[in-house]
Amino acid sequence: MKDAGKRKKPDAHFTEQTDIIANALKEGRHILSEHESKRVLGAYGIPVTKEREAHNRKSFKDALIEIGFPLAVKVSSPHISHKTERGLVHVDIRNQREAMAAYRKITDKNEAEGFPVLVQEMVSGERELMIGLKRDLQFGPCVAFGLGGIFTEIFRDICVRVAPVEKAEALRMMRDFRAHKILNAFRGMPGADMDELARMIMVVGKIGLEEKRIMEVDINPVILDDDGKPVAVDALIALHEM
Amino acid sequence: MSKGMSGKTIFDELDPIFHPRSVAVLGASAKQGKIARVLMDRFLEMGFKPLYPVNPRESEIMGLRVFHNIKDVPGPVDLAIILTPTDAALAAVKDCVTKKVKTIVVTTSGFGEAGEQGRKVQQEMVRIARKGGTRIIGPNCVGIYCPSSKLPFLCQAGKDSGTVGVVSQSGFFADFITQTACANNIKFSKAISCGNEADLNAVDFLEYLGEDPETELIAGYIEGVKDGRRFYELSREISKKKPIILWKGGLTEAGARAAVSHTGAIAGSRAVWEGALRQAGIVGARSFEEVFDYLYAFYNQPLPKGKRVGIISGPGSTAVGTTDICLELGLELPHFSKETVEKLRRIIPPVGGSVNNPIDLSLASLVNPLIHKDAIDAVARDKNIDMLLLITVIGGEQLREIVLDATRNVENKKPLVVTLMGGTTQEVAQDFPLMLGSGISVYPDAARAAKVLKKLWEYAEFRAGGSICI
Repeated sequence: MKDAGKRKKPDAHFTEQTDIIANALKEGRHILSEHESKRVLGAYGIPVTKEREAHNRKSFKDALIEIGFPLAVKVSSPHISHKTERGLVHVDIRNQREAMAAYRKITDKNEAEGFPVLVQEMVSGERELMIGLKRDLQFGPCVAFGLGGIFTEIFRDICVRVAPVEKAEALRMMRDFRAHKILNAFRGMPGADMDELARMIMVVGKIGLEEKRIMEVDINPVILDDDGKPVAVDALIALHEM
Repeated sequence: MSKGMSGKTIFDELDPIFHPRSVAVLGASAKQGKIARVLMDRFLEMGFKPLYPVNPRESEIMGLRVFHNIKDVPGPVDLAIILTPTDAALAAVKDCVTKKVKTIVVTTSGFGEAGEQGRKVQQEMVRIARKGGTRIIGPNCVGIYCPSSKLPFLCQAGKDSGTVGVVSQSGFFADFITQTACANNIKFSKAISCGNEADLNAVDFLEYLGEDPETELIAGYIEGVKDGRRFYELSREISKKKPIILWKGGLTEAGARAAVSHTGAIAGSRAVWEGALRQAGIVGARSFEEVFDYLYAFYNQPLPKGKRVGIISGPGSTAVGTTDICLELGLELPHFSKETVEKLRRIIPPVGGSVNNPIDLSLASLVNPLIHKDAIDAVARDKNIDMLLLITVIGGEQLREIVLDATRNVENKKPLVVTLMGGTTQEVAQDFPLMLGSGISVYPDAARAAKVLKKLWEYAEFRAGGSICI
């Protein structure tokens, strides 16, 4: 926690991210919730899904209006894993009726008790990528980039670079992974916004160098939306055990 | 430049190691079949003086006076090479430190790589050496080679000094690469085998070679490094000035286990290593043969300006197959310019051949070998082409002269690699030293030649700041 004291940035974004990490550590947690993770990443300038945490029915309804349909509803907790398998994630919700049904299903579950419900925009896009931060024993902070979603584990199509990653190198990563053609325009989908993807890779490297309290970042999937813009749809930040 | 303990640069600190005023060989022997004898032979061949053999049971070896203990040597000793049995090595180190030797090479094995007990002895060596201000290379290594100082390697690595620096955690690699490449006309500035790296390590020597003005190209073998980030940042800086051809061993789990018992190194994660090597602009090799393949190209060829390959092939089948390989490697085979096609039309018979890229010289290349020369000349002058790949069914002196003649007068130098298919395996084998001896980069397989072009291009791209492709 000594890093928190050293921060001299009065910047609102930095305050936000520092608070989130400091709070989690104070609570003895080493994993940030999806929502917390995205708020930290968002503060660093990573494009994340629009989303709101609702603590009761009233704020849930407000969130629906704010986010707009279609949307996804899920329990917001750093403690619950395999949320989909447990029926705690409902996607592609098209109207208020479906949303309220999803809300009931989630809040009825014992394990979800006491946790807020996350209302999240649905990002439509077929192409899923991943960007991650790992700390290597020998090389220190390293950035991974590659194929995301359910294919991450199957194809292991990922390339790694040592942080900091320069822009030319980030662009080279996008050429180096085997499925690199996924970034081109095809089947009516536009080409990926390479500059923005490169920036995200560079920012994740910067987080590794600057924020020592963060041990790992896993942004997966990063979905390319209908305009080819990358959006962090799910993310997880693990903190160092202090 | 990073500063060492004394505030000096690594170069200032390590350079004297390669220029000793005197050398002692502890465990020297004249007995045939012993490593100590081989090393004595090499020292005498190189003509290094003064050389002090040390052995408690001998009085004269190969005409040289033998000292029973290094402490008996009358003058100062800058470099001591320990070849004693494992159990006598620690005492030998102590004697060297008492004698105020500047650098000790411990070739003896059975220390850190052998287990916990060996590791302790190794640490004790370093503790004693540090107290006396002595540096240690090894143990479990073959030490240093520096032809300009008449310091030999175990194998015959050549007497002439050159521009290639070698750093290796494997003794065999250091010995074998210098011996083999030397036979193919490559000359070395320095070679270091650092073994278990109890004191000085491969990254220290990499940094040294990076700063060494004699060294223009570095070849290395490593299994693991203690500080990956230092290795990465250093290699990246060096690669901006000189290529590093590096074989990293132990990328798989089983390979990493083998590395622990080989040099005691921790090999680390594969994905991270592969990324770091690429990012640092290192020319990564995966085998001995690849190291030689790349060395023969980087030593003899200029860097390309782009990745557009022109293929000139005797056989049509290899023209087609090698085109596939080039494209799979991310290289390009563009159309030749109009002028080139016209020139080629005049030299290649209209039936059976092809004047487009890849060029198929057809059987005419056997009947009239001189068409190789015209084809090379035409393609080398084509502004659409950055690199040439020649696949030939002729060989010998005739091919050597054709290639030299064809490239001599082209002002805009482009890399040219040659695949030898001329004759039987035995005949082709003889052609290798002949071609390499004249600076012609030859390969037994067009796929290997194509990969070499890819590596030249990748490195050229790195040197250009990654900007020419994107």
